[in-house]
Amino acid sequence: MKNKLDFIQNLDKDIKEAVTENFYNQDNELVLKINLKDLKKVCLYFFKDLKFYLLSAFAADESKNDGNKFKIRYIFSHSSIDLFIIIETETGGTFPSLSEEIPALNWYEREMKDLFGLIPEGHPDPRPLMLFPENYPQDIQNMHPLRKDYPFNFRPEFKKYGEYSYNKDVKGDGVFNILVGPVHAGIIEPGHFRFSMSGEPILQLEIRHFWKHRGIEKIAEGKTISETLSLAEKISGDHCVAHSLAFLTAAEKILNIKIPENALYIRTIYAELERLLCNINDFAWLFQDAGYSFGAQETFVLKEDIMELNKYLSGSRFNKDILSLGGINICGNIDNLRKNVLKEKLSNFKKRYLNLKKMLLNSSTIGERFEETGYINKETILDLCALGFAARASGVPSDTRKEHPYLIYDKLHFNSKVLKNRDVFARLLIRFYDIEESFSIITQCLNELPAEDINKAGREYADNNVNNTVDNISKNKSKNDRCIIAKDDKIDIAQQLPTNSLRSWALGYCESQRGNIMHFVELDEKSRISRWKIRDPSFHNWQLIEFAVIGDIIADFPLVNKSLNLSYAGNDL
Amino acid sequence: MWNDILNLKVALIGIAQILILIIIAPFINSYINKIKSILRGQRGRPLLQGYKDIFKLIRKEVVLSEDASYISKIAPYIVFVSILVSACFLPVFSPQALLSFTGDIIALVYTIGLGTFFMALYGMDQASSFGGLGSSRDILIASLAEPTLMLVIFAFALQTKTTNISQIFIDIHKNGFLNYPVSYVFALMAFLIISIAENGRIPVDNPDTHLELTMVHEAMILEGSGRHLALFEYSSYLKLIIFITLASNIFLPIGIYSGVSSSISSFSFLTILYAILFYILKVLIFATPIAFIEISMAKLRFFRVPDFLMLGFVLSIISLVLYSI
Repeated sequence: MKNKLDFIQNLDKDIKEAVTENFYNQDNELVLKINLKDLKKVCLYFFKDLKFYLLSAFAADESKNDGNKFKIRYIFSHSSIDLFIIIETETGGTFPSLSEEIPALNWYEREMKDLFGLIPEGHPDPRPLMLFPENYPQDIQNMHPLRKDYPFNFRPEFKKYGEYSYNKDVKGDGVFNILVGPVHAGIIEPGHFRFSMSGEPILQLEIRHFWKHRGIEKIAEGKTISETLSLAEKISGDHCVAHSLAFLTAAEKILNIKIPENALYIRTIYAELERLLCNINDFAWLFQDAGYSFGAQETFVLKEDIMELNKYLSGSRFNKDILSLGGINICGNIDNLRKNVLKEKLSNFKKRYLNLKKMLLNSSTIGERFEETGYINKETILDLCALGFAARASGVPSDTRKEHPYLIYDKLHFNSKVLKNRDVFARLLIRFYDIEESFSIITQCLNELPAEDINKAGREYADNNVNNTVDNISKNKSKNDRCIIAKDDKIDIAQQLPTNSLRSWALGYCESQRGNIMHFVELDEKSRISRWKIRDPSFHNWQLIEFAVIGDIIADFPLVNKSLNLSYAGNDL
Repeated sequence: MWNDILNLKVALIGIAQILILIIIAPFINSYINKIKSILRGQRGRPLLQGYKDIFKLIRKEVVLSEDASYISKIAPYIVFVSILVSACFLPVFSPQALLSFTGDIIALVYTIGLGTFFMALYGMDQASSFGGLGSSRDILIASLAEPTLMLVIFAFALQTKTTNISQIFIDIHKNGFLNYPVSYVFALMAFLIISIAENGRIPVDNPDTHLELTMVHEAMILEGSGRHLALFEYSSYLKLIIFITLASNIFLPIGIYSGVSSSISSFSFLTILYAILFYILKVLIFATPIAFIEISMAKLRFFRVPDFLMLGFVLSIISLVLYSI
């Protein structure tokens, strides 16, 4: 299974026969076209027999005048081989549901049902996922937003259409339900949780998300790449580098753009800075919610200093707007001066972080709260194809940087730690390891950062502005919005499109702090977006929480929730 | 004639004591918050924030849930009055409390208990899921804290051969606690645990949290608004100061104004003023450790709270036993 090119030869005979067509879309994207009737067999073969991981599943509207036609793609991958298996099939309106066998497909199939009107036959839980029955008409055909004939600015009449029904009720003496959200006491995003409890212990949790569906995928249709890039940054505010990186990776693959070495390093640095920031933030909040305000406050100070560093480097506290097609924006360039500042600050941060870590690990009350809380079993992880640190804390390796190296991760030395403890404390420890690896990766990148091959105008601009205040840089940024590789004013995108197909697509992926981010980008003949499927790791990992809380008491739910720290916005596009 | 004047004096001092408690209660809460903020490296809320909050809440209207019964309307007043009445039992800067002629330290404990009971009712009355959760947790904590509190009190009652608070204070003040120093240390530790539990401080409850699911005291008053909320807030400020006053007067029995029972000539405003200032100083000294404890610990897992209270119970028994032998 190690060899990419022989992969198709080594498959089962049965499966090989089912594949009607196969080709490599990109180096590591193997497309297997199959008929709808073989879908179940082929998917289960990869999921159950070969132990592949489901990374995404989505439909695309390819209808012509002669009736409805949809393409459904399932993306699988495995940690031991740098290869994505894309199972592609076509349907007119229904497809067999695989949720019983592949629980990770549950939300995907309901999403396809809502957004495309494709019916998953035999789905165990066919309730609408994101088009809420309360305020969206359910019975009308062609009310499915991602179909091409659905106008992007359509608004259904505002009235009550139906009622929401919960999945399963727990019944018995002394069992009661507690409904939490979608409006919460703190400044957090909307999510509805129904706890069925008997006293303090939780018997069942049902989550209901997708309260603020923004329709990002629909808005992007017909937009240019640079317009879409600014949407990509807004998918999940704290992961704007990761999401724009994933999107750009896909776009650059389609357009066959070569990125300069320098920019690859700088992208890696920003990706790791974001991981560092998010991890520090997560662990500050864990302490806050455990009521350990001293540790939390110290960690928040460290987080604030990292954000200040971000602002110094890029003009944005979240490193927004630094990546651009083919490289990075000039405002995010890391020249010698910034390199030295970054090195100095990082060693300072690392010292402070190590002190904090020592202090917090020595606190017995913290250990008492975090250990043995929020167990997630390995089987649950595998069934739901959970990603990132949540998987790694339960003994399942999941790190795109190792499995499918992108940018320069294959040249860097780092570990992707896997723990077997399964609890909140393990997820905290994984973050500690991640933070230390991030420090080490950034240092490696800085040491090996190639000499600048930035164009002349850009360099002058950077040199002149390096002593200026950050505010100036961000003010001037829009005027001097040049890519590192940009030779003239802009890249002639249309010329670079592969000529052999009208529509072309690619996968864009990266490892965010929460786990793998997978973007599917399809461009039409005018190199505008025709289908963009975003998959944030939260889409997989939210379902874990229903299992993680079982056996815990309700007072510990905030800890379990924060230990996973999932994105509501990234989940709800 | 002299008796009348003496009684009037006692009454006046008693009223002054209550007023002092009411006036400084919000300040002490803000003071603890301020210390916590400073320790965390923050600027913190102003020291007068407690008063501003109460004033703001009193002016706001009360919003009641549709499911609320008359309990919700009367509970805030009963809670506040019960805490106020128990404050009247309490010697603050003079051993002569306003209600020292009736009721003893056991009455004080159960008057506070009445407030706890009605607060639990209030939590359940408005049919909010968090309220019921908070009530059940609060009653669990209160019922476990109560025996410990009684045992600590018995330790002092045995020593002074009375349950009258004023008499206990006079005795302790006269003799000091040097008779049974070890017993006192254990009693102090037990009392600290009780105070933390009864007042909903870390590690038992987190007064600053916004997470409804983890709240105890805050969950019960989550539905409270307007002047009802003001009364609840004020009651919790007063409850804290009652415990601090008890602790500071028992464990630091110096500087109490004792002129009231002697001749009329000692009725001097200056000595009273000194006693008041000294009392405030003592309260500040006893409030500071609470801030330090809250800063240095995480909240306990809820089902570990009984263990924590059990520790208090054991300490109080040790204290009692050490006194007896």
